[in-house]
Amino acid sequence: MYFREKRCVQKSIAKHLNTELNSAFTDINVVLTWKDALQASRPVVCVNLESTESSLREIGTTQLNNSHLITIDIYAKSRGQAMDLADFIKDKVRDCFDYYLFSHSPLPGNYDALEETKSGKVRTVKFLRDEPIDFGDTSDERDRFRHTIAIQVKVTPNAC
Amino acid sequence: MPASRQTYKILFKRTSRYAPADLSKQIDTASVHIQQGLIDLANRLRNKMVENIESKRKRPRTGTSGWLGKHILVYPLINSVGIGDKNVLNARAPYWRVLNEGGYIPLSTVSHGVLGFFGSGDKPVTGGSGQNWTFTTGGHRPGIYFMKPSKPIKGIRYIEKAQFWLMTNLKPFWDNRLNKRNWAK
Repeated sequence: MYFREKRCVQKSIAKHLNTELNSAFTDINVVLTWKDALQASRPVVCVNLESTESSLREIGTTQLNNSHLITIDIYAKSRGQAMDLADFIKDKVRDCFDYYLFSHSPLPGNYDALEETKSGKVRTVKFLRDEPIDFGDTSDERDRFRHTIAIQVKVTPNAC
Repeated sequence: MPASRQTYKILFKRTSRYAPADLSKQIDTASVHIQQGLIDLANRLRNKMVENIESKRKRPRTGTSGWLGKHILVYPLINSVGIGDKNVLNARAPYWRVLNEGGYIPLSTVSHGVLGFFGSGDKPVTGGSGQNWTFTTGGHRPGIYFMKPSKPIKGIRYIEKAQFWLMTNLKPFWDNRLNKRNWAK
């Protein structure tokens, strides 16, 4: 069974960023949960789907027009690295990129492996936030060079 | 609080029904309605923000102080409305930022931690949860304990969620509000 839209959106963004970041930088960990972000070695990019707002697509249909709030947290090793990664990520999500439907592998004994099928595009409709997180000098080392990006995305069935 | 500033262009169409003096009156009336609408929208947004914070609450709220939602206020300004004042929040609820972003709270870096008690004067229980914490001042004494939180907290992103709610509800809000008004009256 395919994963549903929220999960697929989050994983599609992470997959896209993982490919792009690791082709331009080295050893960037792209993770999906906050717990993983704390455990992985920096630099870490954590993609999270925070919230979804839905409305009916048009009068007379029951199809939903979903809009997702995505936060992309960067845990860098230096302030400069955090800023570079933030600009790079913004540049990579401003254009449409592939949306995948993910599902568990049907092969017996291989349940943890995921299969992916292209099924449209992810489109960024709004940049809500792009700023460093500054807790001051008393902050933990891990929190010292953080940056956050918040975007609003939609899934479109066709090319953008 | 970080938030994007929105600019709205409002078009007043002059038709033969209105004399210039009426149009001026109409603009004045519309300005008041728009300012009221802004305050109404800001109140809804503030409530949405507090709702997000309260839905993630781990410990019960007691008393009237030390509650972040209480200190997030709506500030009507000239031609705009503000929600939450950084200076007020930094003074009265300094954890507002770490609650939004997630991370180690500043108390975890204080040498011994902070003084206070759990519940109605209980000793901290290892692995215990769900009790509220009351901060005290005046030094260590019987019934007052040191607490040093060591685990980072997960950010609940109440600011971004409120901003996101605003983005998706702004147009329906104004459509609904403006269409119900008869500006000529």
